[in-house]
This record gives sequence, structure tokens and C-alpha cells, in this order.
Amino acid sequence: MTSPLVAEGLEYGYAAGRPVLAGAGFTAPSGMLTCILGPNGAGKTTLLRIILRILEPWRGRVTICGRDWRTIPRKMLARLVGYVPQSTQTVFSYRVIDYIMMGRAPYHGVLGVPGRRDEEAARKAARLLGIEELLDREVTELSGGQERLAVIARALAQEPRILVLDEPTAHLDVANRIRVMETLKTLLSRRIIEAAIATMHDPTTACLYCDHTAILHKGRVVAEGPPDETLTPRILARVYGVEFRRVPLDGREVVIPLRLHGR
Amino acid sequence: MDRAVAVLVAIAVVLAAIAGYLAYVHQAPAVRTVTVTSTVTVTQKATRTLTKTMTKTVHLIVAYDGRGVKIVLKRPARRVVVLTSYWAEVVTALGRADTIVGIGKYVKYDQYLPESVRSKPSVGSEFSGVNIEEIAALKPDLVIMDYGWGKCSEIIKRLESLHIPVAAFFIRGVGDEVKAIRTIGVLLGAEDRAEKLIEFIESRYQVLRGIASRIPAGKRLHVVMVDAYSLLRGGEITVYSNTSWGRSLLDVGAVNIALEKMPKSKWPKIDFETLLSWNPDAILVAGSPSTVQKALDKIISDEKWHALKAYREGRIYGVPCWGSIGGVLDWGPRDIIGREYIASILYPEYYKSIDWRRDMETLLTRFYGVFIPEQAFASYGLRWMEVVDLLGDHVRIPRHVERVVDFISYQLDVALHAMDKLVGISKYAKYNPVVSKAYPNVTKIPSPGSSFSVNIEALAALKPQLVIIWPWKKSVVEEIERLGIPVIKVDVKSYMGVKRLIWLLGLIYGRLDRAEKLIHDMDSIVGMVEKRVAGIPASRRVRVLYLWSSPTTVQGGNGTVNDFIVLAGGVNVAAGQYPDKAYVHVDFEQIVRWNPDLIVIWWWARYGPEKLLKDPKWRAVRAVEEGRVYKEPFYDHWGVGCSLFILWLSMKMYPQLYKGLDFMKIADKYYEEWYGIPYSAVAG
Amino acid sequence: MSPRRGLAGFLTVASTPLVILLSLFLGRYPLPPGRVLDCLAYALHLSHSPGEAALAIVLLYRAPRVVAAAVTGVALSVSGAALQSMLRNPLVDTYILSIAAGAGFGAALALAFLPPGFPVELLAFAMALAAFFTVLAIAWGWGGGSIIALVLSGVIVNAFFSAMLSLVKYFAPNPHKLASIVYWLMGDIGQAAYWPIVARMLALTLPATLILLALRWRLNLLSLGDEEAMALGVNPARERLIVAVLCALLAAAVTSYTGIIGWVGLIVPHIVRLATGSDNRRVILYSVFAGATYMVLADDLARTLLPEELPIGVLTTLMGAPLFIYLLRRAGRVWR
Repeated sequence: MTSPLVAEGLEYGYAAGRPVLAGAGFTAPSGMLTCILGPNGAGKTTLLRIILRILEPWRGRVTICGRDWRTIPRKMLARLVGYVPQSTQTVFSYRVIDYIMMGRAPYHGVLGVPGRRDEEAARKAARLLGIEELLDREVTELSGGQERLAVIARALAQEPRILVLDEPTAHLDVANRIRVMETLKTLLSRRIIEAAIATMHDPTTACLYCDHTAILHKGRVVAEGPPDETLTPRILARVYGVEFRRVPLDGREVVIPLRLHGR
Repeated sequence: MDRAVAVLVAIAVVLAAIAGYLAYVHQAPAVRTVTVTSTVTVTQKATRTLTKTMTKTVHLIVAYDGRGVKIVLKRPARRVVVLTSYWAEVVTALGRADTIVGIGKYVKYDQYLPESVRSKPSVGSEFSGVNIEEIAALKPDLVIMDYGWGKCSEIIKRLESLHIPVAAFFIRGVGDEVKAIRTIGVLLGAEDRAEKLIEFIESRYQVLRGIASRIPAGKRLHVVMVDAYSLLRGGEITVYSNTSWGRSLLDVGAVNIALEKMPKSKWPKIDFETLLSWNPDAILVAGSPSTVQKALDKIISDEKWHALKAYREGRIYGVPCWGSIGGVLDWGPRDIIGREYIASILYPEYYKSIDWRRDMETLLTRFYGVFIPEQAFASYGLRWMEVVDLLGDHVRIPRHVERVVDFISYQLDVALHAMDKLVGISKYAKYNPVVSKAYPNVTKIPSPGSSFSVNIEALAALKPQLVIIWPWKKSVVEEIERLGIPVIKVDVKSYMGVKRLIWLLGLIYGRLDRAEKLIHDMDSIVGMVEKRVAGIPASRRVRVLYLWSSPTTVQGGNGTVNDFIVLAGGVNVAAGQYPDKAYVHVDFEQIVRWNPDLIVIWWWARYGPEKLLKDPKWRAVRAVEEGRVYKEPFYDHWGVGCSLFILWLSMKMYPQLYKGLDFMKIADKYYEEWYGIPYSAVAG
Repeated sequence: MSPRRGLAGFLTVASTPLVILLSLFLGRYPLPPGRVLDCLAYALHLSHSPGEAALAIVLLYRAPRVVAAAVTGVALSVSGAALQSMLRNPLVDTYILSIAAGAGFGAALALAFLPPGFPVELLAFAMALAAFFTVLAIAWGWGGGSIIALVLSGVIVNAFFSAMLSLVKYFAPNPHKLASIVYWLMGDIGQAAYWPIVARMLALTLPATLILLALRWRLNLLSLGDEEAMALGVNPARERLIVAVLCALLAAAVTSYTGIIGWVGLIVPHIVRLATGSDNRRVILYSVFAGATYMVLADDLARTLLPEELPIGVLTTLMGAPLFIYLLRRAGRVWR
């Protein structure tokens, strides 16, 4: 079985001669939560933007469900890949149901207006995330965790095969962090989505939830594979400049940050 | 069914009853008016009968003249000969100008007198003698003249030998003036009017004396009043001593040195050394306005005068006298105004409450029946003259104006031949159709801006002696004043305002003669219109609406156009509702409500009558329905053309009154006269 | 949809025909309601003529004026609502497209320098579009059509055309023309109270309004921001261009006939959002009705409040500013 998403040799920079990505590539295996890990400024968000074709890379390509993503029209791409941005800034408030329904955009033309089928899809997405009781509330009234779930629901309403999430746990409290990550796992296990790609900056959370990891450092993927193999104190020390220790937990191991490297 | 019909009929009957009642109520006042009118007629008849009886019973009129001579007339004088202009002014001020049948030689030069008096046959002068036969041929029942100088006593003797009643006067002060007016009033049967004129004079004289008595002894100026003509001629100088003018100095709280030294003489002559030895605090130079100016120029150029204290302290003033326009001091009714002038110029700080110019305007308007506004009068210092602008502010400007920046009245400058005095002009002037055609060199006059905004540095660089501006923005005026440049502010709201402006410009530019002629021409057109429309009753007057930049921007009751409509014999329909607005933006429905008979569109408007005629909603307005919508032929409201506009308006209102009159021909001739271009070159 | 919002929506829609109808009964010319009804009946061939003046007032003046006001209100409100959404900025309306500045400049140019026969509205319209295309050229040609590029170029072009307007005023050949320019800039719906003009306004605004109505859900997507819109399969630069062109057309079409009428495009969408929420499927739709109602009411005030007619542009601004403060206080939570 081919991987739903393969990125190869991506190069990009916001200014000429100063690349943010210098030949980054990774594979997102089917049924797995792939984690792109790296410190702030490693180019994680840029990588996601390229995958979503919000940015056009200088070089390299992405293969989504076996097709070069340049050949996929934007609307079709939106049916394959759902996107959950790190933070949403809605200037105008919408009701949650209307907000989720916006995820149905790839199924409509320019003059289209969502109908009953789309509302069904939106409700279904809300049900999957357990936020049906929020549907009549205003988005601006939601808590941080609820809002994050609503955004995921919107991405699910796209009925994508791959979900791309930018720092899904950032700014969330512990309970919400667990809720979001557990939800992702459930979606994968129930095969509602084929693959999920999430950027993260915290290796500990990655150890707990990820199935596949790509560590991004200075625009390159320095290690890719199962968390056990990639999240080693040696690699992490190089990437983060922090001393990590592996600690056994319920039959697996997690990494815990200890102190700045070299102290 | 039947019941419904019955109800309907009942309603119809009630309605008919109400309608009938309303019709009756509306008719009632008309009936009442008729009754009232007939009563009035009866009363008038009764009065007339009464007057007749009275004339029969009153036998003789008795009065005493200035000499104390008793004059007896059988009835008020109807054929009067006046030998001097000031007695002609008194007769005119008493409303009896029509009794004058002959005049002295110099009376015709008195510009305050009506044309009808000035054109009467001349019978000679008190100075060089009169032709007694000519006087006798006029069959006068009264001769009014002076005594005590020239050939007066000889003339009086010969007239009295012919049994022609003579009233002769000599004036040494306001008291004599009042007595003379009272006597003439009695002799002309105009006692009431005489008392009113006396009241006007005495009330002002009392104020003057009241203030004069409060001037402390230490502040009494020692003054000499010299005759401007004698000063110009060279040699001995005539000074005013024991005469009305010489004594006027005492009235205002000053000391007349000549009167102190030579109390017996009226007009003594002194040499310059005497004057130098007197060394007065102040010198007044009296004479006709133009002689005064020349005399003051001579004092500036003749260095011997610079030794005088009055010169060094800047206390040499002109006193314009006699009967050419601008003349203030004279015998007759203007004597009091002349005193006010002297008071204000010698003691400006004490006589702040006195406004001699306004009093002059009031006197002329109320008693002489002529409109010569305060703007036609200046007071004179050695190097300056003080005029009053259109806002009523006093402005001191150089006596000889040669460098002017005019932001607003340049069109009139063309008519007054004053364009050569402009060193700067409004930036809009070169787009003015009249100015650009009549004075193509306008493009060569630099422009430091407009009334709306002025480039102060560019203005200063032109070194103007004065600036004429429309005070649209106070700050602009203040900025110019801060440069030390006098500012004449011009705002015009009526036909009279236009005339005020013309007088003022004439005075400033030294072109009063042309100003007077221009106003005369304007008045003759407006007078013709007024005469033709005079008989139209209020109910038959044409109701006019004047439209500005848009068909719903109308002329209210304030501003020149409103005045023009009224003078043309019309009614401005918008004036009642907006009495103090010039431009009002109104709702179209308001115009339908007014339902004017005639609509006139501003010349500058971007639309014409066709815009109204083709828009079906305008058909609800009578003027449009009847096709009486016109664009004015040209826009010249603040200038020479305003009288033409009044004529044009009146012709559009009442075409039947002007049959055979060719407007364009009149306008062309008039424009040729004043601008040197035909009206048709700019109008249309 | 909640019952409260449903009611608000219903009232908004119902208010428009009601206010338009009632406005026919309002005016300076004294006409009892019965006469107005007679006029309307006559228009529908139901009765005899109630008199020339009454007919002219009701059918040839009030009716076209009220319709012109309604059309103006619709155009300004709908374009304002659309622009606010697509620029994610509740504080903009068509001025950001430099429509008013361009139209003002064009009108001033015509009033100052062109012969009286030349139609002012033509140059106003042309210059409004010229200003707008300058904005487009800068925003799309140089800034890639991003929100910030559009707002910035709007500010720049606005400033430029305002300066050009001042220049025209400065060089106007006489103060009378200056006065006409000032009057024009204050706005006047009365000059559009003529059926042929109303027809032209309708012809220009109706298609654009309908297209914006059809695009109303896309405006929701654009309001999410470029990144999210692109992730949802939208081409934001292209769709923003379409919306901008439509808004510019709407605003230019009415502004060139009525002069500058400010704050309507700002206020009305906010009132609508307060009543029905921010979803553009409702906001655009109800802005059509609320805009018409608001403008007709404002024009009624302009016509009848004082003995003289108030400049409508001044009135809407005077009404708009305090209303806006109130809305900000009431609705601070609706947008952020």
C-alpha cells in the first residue's frame, strides 16, 4: 500500500538565498499519526503550507494519494487534505454549525450555497468530535479547546483523506490537549481519515501519541521513523540543545527534557 | 339598499352645507373691506373741506430773519429765489425744493442738491452781484440770501425797493442755524418738517457740547483753521476767526487762536511768521475736498511747514467743505456734521460715540432724499485718509492710492478706470468674461490668491498700499492686517450695497466723478423700472423664484438677487420662508408649493430652462407649465450690470409694460459706456 | 435559525416596502393621504386624475426619489457588507476602493472645467472606476491581491484623489464653480428624482447586486483569511477581485448620480449583523432590505426635518457616527 502523502526535497525561503526549508522530505504512512517535530523556527509551518499549496516551493514535490500535487486542482486538493490551522482569527463571529459548514466549500462552485446534504456532513463531523451541543453557539463564545474541536470538525466536513494540523495542542490546557490527541487517534483507528500529519514542538507529547515522526532541523529532516528510533536523547540534544532522558512508562518509553545541553 | 342611498344623500347634503358655509366665510372679508374703504373716502372729503375753511380764516404769515427784519407773507412762499447753495439745501431739506424758481450762480455746483434745483436759472451771485431784472422776471414771492458780506447789502436794498420779500441770514453758530431754519420753515409753510430738522441738529449739538464740556482745560488744543485755497495760492494765509466755522472749534472743546488774537475779524489774513509764532497744537485745512488734498500735499513738500509743532506731531488735518461730494462742513443743515467731523478728528478719544459719516448719510437720506452713503466720505490727515468699508469698519489708507490688490471688485475697477492702480488681483479675475474682454492686460497683473486663500508672502512682495477683499474667512483678513496693510472688506447684499461699493471705490481711487456718473446711470435705469411697475397692486405682482447651481438651490430673502427681484416689481416666493438666507437648498415639493409664475436661472448654472422643461414633474409648477423659465442673460450682480439685470427681470415679469423696448440695445450701449465692450459680447 | 433572528429578519424585509410606501405620504407639499392614494390608484389605472400638481409630486417626484434612495441604500450597504467580510475589517466600506474620492474628483473636474452641457455623472463614474482600477493595479499587480495590499493601496489612492480634488478646487476658474463642487460633494438624492435616472441607476446596480447575493456564502469563506480560504479550495485573490469589481461598480453607479453619501455602507451591515448574526448568507440578503429602509428614512429626514433640505451626505454622517458608537458598545462581542 502506498503512503497517502510523500514529500520530497522541498526547498523554500521567504527571502532569496535564505532558505527555510533546504531539501526537506518525509512520508506519512497510512493509518498513522505522523508528527513533524522541531523547535520554533525549524520550518514546520512552512512545510505544512507547501503541502497545502498555500506556498509554492522553489524545488521538490509532494505526492498525495499517488498524484503529484501540482496536477491536483485546488478544489480537489481540498477534498483530499483537510487543514487545521494553529490559530484562527475570525473577525466576524459565526454560529458553530455555519462555521463547520464552511468546510463544504470544496464541494461547491463559486455561486454555490450549502444545502441539506452539507448540513448533514457538518452535523456528522460535529458528532464525531462530540460537540453537537455547541452547534447553535457562536464561535467567538467557545473556549480554546472547544474552538480547536470546531476547527477540526470544519476540516472533517471537507471529508478529506488526510488531515493536516498545525500545532494542534498549542495553547491548550492538559485536558483539552488529551481530548484533541485522543480524538485524532480515534479518527485514524475508525478509518475516518487515512492519515494525519501534525506539527509539534514538544517531543514528550509526540512520544505519547505519534506513530511516525520526522524531526526537522535547520530546514532538513534529520531523522524519520517510529518515535522509538528517532526521539533519541542524542538527536534531540542536537536539535533542541536540551538534555533529554528516556523514561519507561506503561511498557514504552517517553523522553523528558531535563536541562539545557552542556550545563 | 334604500337606507344606504338615504345615508349617502344625507352625507352629500351635509357636505354641501359645509361647502356653502366655507364659501360664505371666505367672501365675508371682501365685503367688509369695501365698507371700510368708503368710510375713508368720506373722512378725506371732510378733511379737505376743513382745510379750505382754515385757509380762508388764516390771513398772514409773519417771521423775522437773521437781521431781525420782519417778513410778512400772505401765504407760504411758492416762488423762491435762493442765492446760495446752503439755503437751497435748507429749502430742499424742508421738502420745498419745488418752490425754487431761481438760484445763485454757484448753487448748481452743490452736488447734494437734486438735479431739478441745480438746473434752475441762475441770477448771479452775492459775490459779484445779481441781475435784479432777472430776479424780478421770475416773480418771486421770497428771496433767501446772506447778509454781511460781498454785495449782499446792495442786493437786499434793491430787492426791497421792488417790494420783493427778502429773508437774509448770517451764521455764527448752530444757534443762528436753527433760527434760520425755523424762519424759512415758517415762510415756506413747512414748520413741522423744520422742527424735525432742528431736532436732528440740536440733539446732536447737545451731545457734542456735553462731551466738549468734559474735556479738561489742560487738554484743550490750540488750533488754527486755515483756508486751503489761500495756502495753495501762497502769500498770506486766510484763517477762520469770528465765523460759524471759526467758532466751531470752541463748540468741540478746542481753542481757536485766531479768534483769541483777532476777535473782531471774520476771515483775517496772516503771514507764515505769525502762524509760526502762534505755533498751534493742531492745524485744520479747510476747503473743497480736492483743494484740501492739494494743500496737504503742499504742506508735505514745503519744508517751512515742517518747523511747526503741529506738523511734527502729525496734527495737521483736512476739513472737506462745501457742496461737492465729500464736502462735510458748510452752512446749512450740514454745519452740524462738519462740527462732528472736526470733533472726531481733533479728539478721537473723546468723541468715540459720534459717527459723523452715519449722521451725514441719515441727514441726506431722511431730509435731502438722496442716497449718498457713508462710504462716500473720508476724513483726512496729512498723509492718510480714513474711509469706512462695506462692513462699517473704519480703515486708514494712504491719501494717494497707487498700489492696490483687489480680490473682489475688479469688475468695477474696470468701469471706474482704476485698473492701472492694481498691482495684484484675484486669481479668478482673468476668467471673468467682462474683465478679460474689457481689459485683456489683466493676465499681466500678478495674483497672490483669492478672497478664499491668500499667499501672504506673494501679497507682501507686491507691496500694496491696501487690499480689497471679500471677508470670507476672518483669518485671511487678519493675516493681511498683521502685515500692516490696510484691508477694505467688501460684502454686498442689495442694490444700495452695490452703490455703497461704487462710492467707496470712487473715493479710494480718487474717481468720485466717475463713480457718481455710474450711479447716476444705474439709477436712471432702475428709476425707469420703478416708475413702470409702481402702479401694480400687490396681488398682481409676478411671483419669482431664482435658482442657483441646482434646480433646488434657491435664492432666499437675503442678498442682492432678492433685492433686484423686489426692485423689478416682483415678489421673491422664497423670501417669506427664508428671510435671512441667500442660498437655500430646498425640497422640490417646496417649489411646487410656492408655485412661482416665473423662474430665473443663474447664469453660471450648468443647466438651462430645458432641464426643467423636459422633466415632467416640473410641469406641476406654473412657471414651467407656462414656459416662463429663463436663464439670466449675464451674471453681473455686484457691478455695473445689476441695473440691467433689474430691467431684464422686470421685462420678463411684465412684458406688456415694456413694449417696444429693446433690452439688448440698451444693454449694449450701457456696457459700451462703462466697459467699452457690448453686452452681447459676454451675455447669452 | 433562532426565533429572535427569524423575527429580526422578517421585520427587516417587511420594513422596506412599508417604509417606501409611507414615504410617498411624506413631504413639504401638503397632500392629504387620500390624495396620495388617489395618485397611486391613478397610476394603476384605477381612478381619474387627482390633479396635475398632486400627480407630479407623488408619481414624478416622491416615487422616483424614494426609489433612487432605496437603490442607493442597497448599493452602498451591500457593497459595504461584502467589502467588510472579504477584507476581514469591520471598519471599511467602498471608500477603501477610492470610489468616493474618484467620483468626487471627476465631478469636480466636470463642474470646474467642462462646458455646462457635459453630464457631470459621466465623469464622476469614469473617475470612480479609474480610481478603483488604480487601487486594483497596485493591490493585485504589486501586492498579489492580499488584504493588506488592498487596504494600503486604497489608502494611497484615496489620498491621491483627495489631493487632486483639492487641486481642482484650487484651480477652479471662479468661486461659483467652487460652490457647485462643494454642494455636489455633500450629496443630494433629489437630483436623481427623475425616472430615467432611476432606470439608469437600476440598470447599473441590479446585476451587481444579484451577483453579490449569489456570492454571499463565498464571502464567508473569504472572511476566514487567505490561508484558510485556500485550504478550503478557494482562490481568494481571484474571488476578491470579482467582489471588489462588483462593489466598485455599485458604489460608483450611485455615487456618480447622488454625490458622496458616507457611512451608510459602514452602518447598515453592522445593524444587520447585530440583528441576524454575521453569516453573510443573511447579512448580504438583509443588507439589501435594511440598506433600502435606512436610506429611504434618512432621505425622508433630509426632505422634511428642516424647512430647507439637509445635504444627505452630511445627514448620514451625522446619524452614522453616534449610531456607530452605540453599535460598537452593543456588539463588541459579535466581532473581535
